[in-house]
Amino acid sequence: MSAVAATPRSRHRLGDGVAYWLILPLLALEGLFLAYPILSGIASSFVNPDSGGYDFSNFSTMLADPDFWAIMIRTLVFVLLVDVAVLLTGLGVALLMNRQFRGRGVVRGLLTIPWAVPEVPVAITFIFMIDPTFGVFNLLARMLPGVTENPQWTLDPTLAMAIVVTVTVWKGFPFYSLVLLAALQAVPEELYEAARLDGASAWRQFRHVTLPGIRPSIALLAVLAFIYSMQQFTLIWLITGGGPVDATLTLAPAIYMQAFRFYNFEYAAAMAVVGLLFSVLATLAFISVQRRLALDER
Amino acid sequence: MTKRDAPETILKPSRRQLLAGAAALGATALTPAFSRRAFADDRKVLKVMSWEQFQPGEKDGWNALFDKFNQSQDKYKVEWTGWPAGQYISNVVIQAKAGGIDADVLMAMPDLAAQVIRKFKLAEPLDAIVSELGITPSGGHEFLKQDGKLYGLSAIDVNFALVYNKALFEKAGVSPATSQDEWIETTKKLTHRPDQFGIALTNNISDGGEWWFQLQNFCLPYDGKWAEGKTPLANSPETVKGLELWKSLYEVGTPQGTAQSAIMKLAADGRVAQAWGVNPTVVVLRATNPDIYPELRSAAPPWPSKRSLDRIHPLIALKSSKNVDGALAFIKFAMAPDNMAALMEQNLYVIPPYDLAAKSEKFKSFLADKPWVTGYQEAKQVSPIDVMGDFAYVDDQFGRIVMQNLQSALKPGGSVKAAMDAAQKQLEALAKKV
Repeated sequence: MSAVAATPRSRHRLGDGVAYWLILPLLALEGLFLAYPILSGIASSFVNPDSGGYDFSNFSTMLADPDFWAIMIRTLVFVLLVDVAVLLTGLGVALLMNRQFRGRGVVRGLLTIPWAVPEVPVAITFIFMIDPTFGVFNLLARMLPGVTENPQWTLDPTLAMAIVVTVTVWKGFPFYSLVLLAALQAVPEELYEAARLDGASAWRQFRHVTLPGIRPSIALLAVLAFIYSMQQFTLIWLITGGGPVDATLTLAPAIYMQAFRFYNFEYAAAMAVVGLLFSVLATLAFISVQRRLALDER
Repeated sequence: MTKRDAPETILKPSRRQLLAGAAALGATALTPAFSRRAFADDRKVLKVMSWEQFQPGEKDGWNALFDKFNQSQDKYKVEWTGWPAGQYISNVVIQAKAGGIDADVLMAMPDLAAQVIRKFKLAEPLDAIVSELGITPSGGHEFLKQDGKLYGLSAIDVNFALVYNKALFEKAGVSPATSQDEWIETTKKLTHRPDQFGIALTNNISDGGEWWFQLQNFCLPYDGKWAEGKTPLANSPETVKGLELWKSLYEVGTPQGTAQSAIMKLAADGRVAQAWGVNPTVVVLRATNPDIYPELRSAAPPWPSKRSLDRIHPLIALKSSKNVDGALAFIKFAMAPDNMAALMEQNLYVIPPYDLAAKSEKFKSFLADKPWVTGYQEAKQVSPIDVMGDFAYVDDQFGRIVMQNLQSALKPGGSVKAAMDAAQKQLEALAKKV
């Protein structure tokens, strides 16, 4: 009896061992290509560029630098604007796409184009569209009351920020729309029917049925949008170069500039550690929100 | 065996004989190929790190030089390595910081050359080549010297002058300016926005590299400097006046806020009357629109000293190379008058590394045939290292500070002096890190 009982346990143990061996190559690859570069980057953030030893000099320089704080504030403004705009646009488009209309499949397909196009051609296209002499944006701007001259899109700090936010949102919203569309389609139709029977208006249906139904997806997308905009480099760098007067210089282009333009690799690594911390905090916030939502549902 | 058999035997070889004969023939035919391949495989590969293999209009000339060297050699053969110009300096510096540059010969921009020679100390002296060829390198080579030794020889020398479209100038009834005020006036007359622009000046921070490349010259119109040693001079009266000149040109005749690529397209389409640029600008315009090439001319910098920045891009033999002799052999080959003349002719390089016209009739007649070179030849050479002081090593950072602040002066009513006062403070902070 005891021998019979031992057999499945030993098999179970064997199974565990095999599983670990099977995931070992993956873990090794992750370690080599993910953990090692991250740890190495963190380590170099502690390297004193003058002495070559390890200390907190890069962090103390960074924290005492008003430019760093200006970059952080600007990054938060950019992230916030992109987050709100991309989620609202994504939700709006998802709600439209959730309705029945002719050619819905084609429209859905077309909507993914901005997301599918690589960032470099997007940036180049927008650079031409915002050209103060030849750009098509000038025509649109001059339709607005009070605008009599072509705006200097990349010379005005507010306009430049508006442009990079707009392009980032335009590039990213299809992904958010598609995820939200999937979430919308998962909301049970019976809930809407019950709400309609109770005489709920369209707004109240949205407020009390749709929104709670897609809340977990919105929370996830908010975190993803935070990380996406926090990491935004290509569009900002190519369209405004971080200008004018650093008005669009957020964390990612600032790190690039310190490392690959000014060759302050250690200082750039310290800035990157701050970026990493923010992303980790955003993820932790997401996990906590998810837990709260799960508890609420129970 | 009959008599008849004998000839038959000769005329009809056995199958074995036929195969043996075929093998012999094949071996004879293949022997040279095998020996050629063995010859090629025996040669050591020299890696030339550069950006030129990506340059339209220039790579063919360099490839021809490489082929010629490879054909002349039984010991070495050269191959390209490197990146396009935009990523070049950062990648080379990363390698140098990591301990060594993975090449035998390095082609470098002036500021990179200064770093490789003085900061990283990775260059091998080239004085032997100079004496063996009996050449005297041009005055611009001074920054490549240290402790009396020369560490680089110019592969490409570009200097700034005014490139202009003769047809548009004739149509407007103007000649190239010879003074600062005249330059503004001429530019104004040549501008008919949005159809035609008086001057092409890069003015977008997203084209920061190119903008600083041009703007760096604007300390020179009134004999200023950007820095002296560790002291920045961004708000010195001379530099501020130079930048005010730039601002006036920007206001009267530049496509404002337009990307550099679009400006070059406008110039190639004949919609820009003049540009402040280096001699390869002509090569790029010719490549974009061959029809415009016959109309292009150059004029000396329109200020009394006629001084403009001269950017020598030297070839450097790397000390870390396992084939230093090969690296030196390649540089010597490239500098030989006939080879250099052929390269310059094909790539439309007009500023030779030494008095090439005195050594090569071919080059002399090539220059005589180029009406657009006169302005470049009249310009007086100044090295960027001479105007940047100790900031030559942080050239990009310096430029970024100047451009960012200058942008605030481009708004209506903006003051260049106030912008440069702000820049000066930031540059003084930067000086502490240099």
